[in-house]
Amino acid sequence: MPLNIHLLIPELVLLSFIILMVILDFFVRDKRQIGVVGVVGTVVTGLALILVPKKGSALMGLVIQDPAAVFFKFLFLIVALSILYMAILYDERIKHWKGEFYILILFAILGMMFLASAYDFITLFVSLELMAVSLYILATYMKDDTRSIEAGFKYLVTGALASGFLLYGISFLYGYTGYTGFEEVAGALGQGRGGFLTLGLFLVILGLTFKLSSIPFYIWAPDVYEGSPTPVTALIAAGSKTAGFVVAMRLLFTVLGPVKEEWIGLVVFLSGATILLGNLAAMPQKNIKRMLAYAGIGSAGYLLIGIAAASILGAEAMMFYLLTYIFAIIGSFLAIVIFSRVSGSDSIDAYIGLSRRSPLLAATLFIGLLSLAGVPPLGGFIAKFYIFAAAVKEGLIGLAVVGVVMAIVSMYYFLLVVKRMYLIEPEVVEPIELNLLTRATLYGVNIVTILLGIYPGPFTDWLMEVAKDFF
Amino acid sequence: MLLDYLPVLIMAVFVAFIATMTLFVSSLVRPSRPYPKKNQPYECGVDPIGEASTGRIRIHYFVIAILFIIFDVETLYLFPWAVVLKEIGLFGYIEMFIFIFLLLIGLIYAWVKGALEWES
Repeated sequence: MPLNIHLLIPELVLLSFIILMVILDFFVRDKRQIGVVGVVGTVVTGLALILVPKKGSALMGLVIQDPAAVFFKFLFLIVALSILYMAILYDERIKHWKGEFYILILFAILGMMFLASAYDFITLFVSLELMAVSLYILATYMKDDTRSIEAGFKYLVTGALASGFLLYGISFLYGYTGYTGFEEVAGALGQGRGGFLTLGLFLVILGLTFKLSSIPFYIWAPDVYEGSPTPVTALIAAGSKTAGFVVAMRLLFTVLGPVKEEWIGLVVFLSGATILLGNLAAMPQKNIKRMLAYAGIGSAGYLLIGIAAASILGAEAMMFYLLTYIFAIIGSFLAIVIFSRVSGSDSIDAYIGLSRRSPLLAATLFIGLLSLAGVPPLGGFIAKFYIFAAAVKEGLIGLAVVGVVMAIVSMYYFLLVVKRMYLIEPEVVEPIELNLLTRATLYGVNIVTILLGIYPGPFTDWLMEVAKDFF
Repeated sequence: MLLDYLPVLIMAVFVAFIATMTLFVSSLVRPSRPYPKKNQPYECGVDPIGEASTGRIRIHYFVIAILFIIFDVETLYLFPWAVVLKEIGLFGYIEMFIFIFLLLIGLIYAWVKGALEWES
């Protein structure tokens, strides 16, 4: 198999820009300029991604390029743009190593992009760790703040444990089949099965649940979301979870698809338990980042329904869900970052009367949260609809019922925030000033979320084609 | 199937036996005259300062160690590369320089940021 290095041009472009940022960091005084270079690099990478061939395999089969990988890479670049923008807004609160903040964000994004096209267990693990190690450092970034250190420490310890599970599982799969490439493993699995295969599968799925923040490795999520700097929280919520699901889809659909009766029961259980836990635990939260952490755990449960369905419709529903989820998270966290600069607090009570102080910020948070809850006509509603449709079509009626009931429960804690923003009169009425760029960004994110809800046709048709690659 | 691993087991037992026997027999033969200076831990000929068991060591040692590892690995790659240089041609030649360039950026970064300064 040839090297086909041209398929990796977008990643190489991003890597070159990261190195350029490292060099610029020696000379530049105002580190926000490094963030701007990062934004330029992300846009150039996006252009390269448009031009690159959409099908093929590179580095002797270690990575592949298919429409699904390209779709997820675009998602990651959108995440990168918005997180870099949040980081530039957040710049004044970072005390040490301001330049490296942007560099590490892009390193994490680079890891995610490689994960989207990983087609070998070695590539998978190395890119997973590139992403994870960058995120460990970023979570600990406010080294004067004990909560940030606690967040980073918990993230590192649970992450290392989960990586151990994943690696142990991979070694069993390798021992059983004798290959590390996805295609060869899939081929070898078709020929027979044994106890070690089930053990390997079990460990790999458990290791992955850390990235998905679902049961059993969800316990880090609330503390890490609360303690990390807010742009990093958004990166973990939007990027790391999506990357985890890309890997889960490729592994479970493409590689382990032939033995699906071995793992479907486990995924159904994890999915139902995660939905229940995430949505019920989100209700009493007082901190908005903590609440979003539990809401994110709930979302991981909904996405696992798509995996349990193990059908083209399920894969399509998951991709559409991730698309709407990313925009909802970006919108909500942009509002949280901008608002916390003024209020200095992430407590839900601080949001009292936000609609009087800045209607646009309140509307962005409103749309973001309701899209996460799955209220029509927003994107999140269509996504949940497709997920439940996929579940019912595969006969997972019980899971669909749990999902629908919990979607209604989730409305409660999202509306608690909305009530504070719109219905309670604030003590401070001083308006929050937003500059033109910020307003344009917020309008853009809101329009996308609404558009995905009222006119999803072109996206779902296209994703249906893309989803076929997984099987 | 499992029987194929029998040589491994025999070797493990044999190694354990040899190791314990060497220590045991030499303890019977050698003279034993301990004194405080002799019982000190060996630290490259320098007198030890403080108790190691308190767990406080300079984090700086790790930075130096990591920098060392990077260049250690670089040498490890350079040897096989030099052996097969003729077969891999210009592509491999350029690729190694990219690799060294990336490591060099890392070294300059550590240098500029003061990771090599011993006094803080």
